[in-house]
Amino acid sequence: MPVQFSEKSRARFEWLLTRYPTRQAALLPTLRLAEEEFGSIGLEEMKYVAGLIGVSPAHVLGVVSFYTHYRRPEHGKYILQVCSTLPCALRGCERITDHLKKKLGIKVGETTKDKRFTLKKVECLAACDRAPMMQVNDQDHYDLTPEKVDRILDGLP
Amino acid sequence: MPTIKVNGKEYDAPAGKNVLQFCLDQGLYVPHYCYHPALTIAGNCRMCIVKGSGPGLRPGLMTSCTLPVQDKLEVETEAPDVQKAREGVLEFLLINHPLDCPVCDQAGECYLQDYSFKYGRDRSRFVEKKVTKHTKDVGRNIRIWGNRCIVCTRCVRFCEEVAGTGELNVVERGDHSIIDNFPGLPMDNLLSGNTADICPVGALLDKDFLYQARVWYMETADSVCPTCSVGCNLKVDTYQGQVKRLRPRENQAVNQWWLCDIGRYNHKFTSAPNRLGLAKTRGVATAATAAIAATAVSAPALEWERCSLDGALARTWETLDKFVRAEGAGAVAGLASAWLSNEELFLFRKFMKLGIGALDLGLVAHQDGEAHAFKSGFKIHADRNPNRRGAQELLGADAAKDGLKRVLDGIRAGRIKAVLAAGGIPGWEPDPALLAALRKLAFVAVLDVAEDAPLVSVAHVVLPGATWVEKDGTFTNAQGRVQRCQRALPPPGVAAPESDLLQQLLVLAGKREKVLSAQGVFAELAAEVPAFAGLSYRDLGGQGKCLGAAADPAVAAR
Ligand code: SF4
Ligand code: SF4
Ligand code: FES
Ligand code: FES
Repeated sequence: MPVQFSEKSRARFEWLLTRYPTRQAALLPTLRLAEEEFGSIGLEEMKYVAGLIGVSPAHVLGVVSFYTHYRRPEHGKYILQVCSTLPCALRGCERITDHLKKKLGIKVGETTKDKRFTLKKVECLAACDRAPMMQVNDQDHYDLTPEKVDRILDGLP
Repeated sequence: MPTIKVNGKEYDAPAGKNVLQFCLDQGLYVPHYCYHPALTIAGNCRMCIVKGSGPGLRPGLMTSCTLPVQDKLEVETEAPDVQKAREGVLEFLLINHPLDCPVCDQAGECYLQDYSFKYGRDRSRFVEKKVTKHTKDVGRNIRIWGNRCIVCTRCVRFCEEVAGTGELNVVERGDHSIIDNFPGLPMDNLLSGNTADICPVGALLDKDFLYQARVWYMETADSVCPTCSVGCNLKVDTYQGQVKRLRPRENQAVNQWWLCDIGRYNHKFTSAPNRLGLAKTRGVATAATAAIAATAVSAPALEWERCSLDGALARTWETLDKFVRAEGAGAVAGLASAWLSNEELFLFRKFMKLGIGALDLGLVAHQDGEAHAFKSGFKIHADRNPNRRGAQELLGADAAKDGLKRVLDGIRAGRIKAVLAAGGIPGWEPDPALLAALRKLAFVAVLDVAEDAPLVSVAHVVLPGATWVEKDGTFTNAQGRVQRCQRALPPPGVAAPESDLLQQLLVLAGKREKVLSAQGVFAELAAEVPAFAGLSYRDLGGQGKCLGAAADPAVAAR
């Protein structure tokens, strides 16, 4: 099936364009929209968005790969993004990452075989006051300890 | 005009111009990687750092490529803190670099090497594990060694802004940033080779030149591309008697900084195994007498005999002369080639008119290719010949356009019995009707460069000529710009520039005393052909001059 926005998303895209000075400036929210519509952003989705915005597919690949927060087809159901920037690092994020690696049996950047979890180390997620922290998909979790991480993961549907 | 101070000296400088380019224009070298005059300014490599101060400017170190000229600006390019900053920038650029210069094609023309030598520290403090990146083809002609890339984005901007195709981009981020193409969409635009030229380091390399030669052992001659009528200026790099690489030579009036891939890689024919290094003849004695007796033997039915070059020239002249004596000058016609230089076209016409008295002259030329235009305005012409314009001036516009048809008609009508033809056109697929007509003739003498060239298949005498890298001469491009090609290599075997061969025929015809250099022939041409009046090798220089420049100041300014 060709990758294409539904009418609703298309309308939303047109509205986005009115919010930015140039088409190119609307790339990030358009990718978000694509992520919502298509579930994740793979090569076909990037090409589609490139066509919509009027930039090269390579440009879109550059943007998508620059950011850690776009969902890619290879990602698991839950993306665990552990912040590793200074405040979180000082508060022991390394311990959290190590715990997750051991618990899930994967390295940073990998996905569990059952496609349930993807583990990522990311830059500051703007919750430094409650470091260390991680995001599980769009949900923030603060003041992490290994025990708390276990509870969070075990409580996921 | 604003006044600025660079290293304590005052200059009038155009407002808004970037300080880096201004310094370069003054001959004050400021090292830089990401800046390129053809591309938008990225300001990402930090190598062009200078010390600046001026109204509204916080004094300190700043990148000169992003610093516009404004009144009362003061800049220092060699202050101790500038030196220190350069050292630091280089140390950073090299932290993940593999330092594999011994096996890198860029070695010898690499700005990492040169700047390290001039501005760098002699050791790195980086003890962490290096980040490694991909080595892969990013296009048909270009491979990237990601570990050597300094992410200056020149290649990205080139594809965006000059080619207009945008195949390359930076993917990932931070110290993992690397140039890549979108999967399945490689950089296959027809200007792709230029990315290897403008990559300041050994990251993008040309697969055609890969591991062919250490650059410092090569010799270089300035020349012009023969592959289309744009006439891009280029350098011919040779090693051990072979062309290894063609590189663009800047000429703002013609090709700016670029070459297209069609022209860039069209040099293999110069060293192909099919090159003609010997003269040869077949059935000449019989051909002449038989033809005159009207029982011609077509060339392809005869066996080749080797022959000295002098012998072949003598037989050519004597046989053509016999036809003239027996049948009149109208029985001999000439076909020049749009791949001959101006000098050679001039001599060709001279020999046909003075030596033979021939009535019919025509022009053979490479079949048209596809025309291309790019975002920056760079064009590839459909006319895949270097010198059709020169031929129009030197043979006459009418001969260049309709002469070939008249010669063919003359052959078909039985009026034309013998032809002197020049080829030397690589990849030429002539109209089969031309070869069919020539095949009927009692005598065909051919100047060409390849054993299997179309004209050789119908020849009775083959005079081995030179490709454009093996001779001095000039081409006139489509805009009427006369540009020099310099000899980079000797021709193979006894082959000689067509300019020499044609002059020897003129000597045999008693119309010339001796063989002149291409420069001498050009002087003669400029004296005799009004369009070329006032031009000489000296004032063609490295950038060429337009026809009519001497007479018209408006043309001279082009
Ligand atoms: S490949 Fe070369 S031109 Fe492209 S960004 Fe890297 S260093 Fe610059
Ligand atoms: S545009 Fe024409 S002259 Fe220029 S490099 Fe290409 S083929 Fe040669
Ligand atoms: S450093 Fe972790 S949220 Fe800011
Ligand atoms: S040349 Fe100025 S920052 Fe690269």
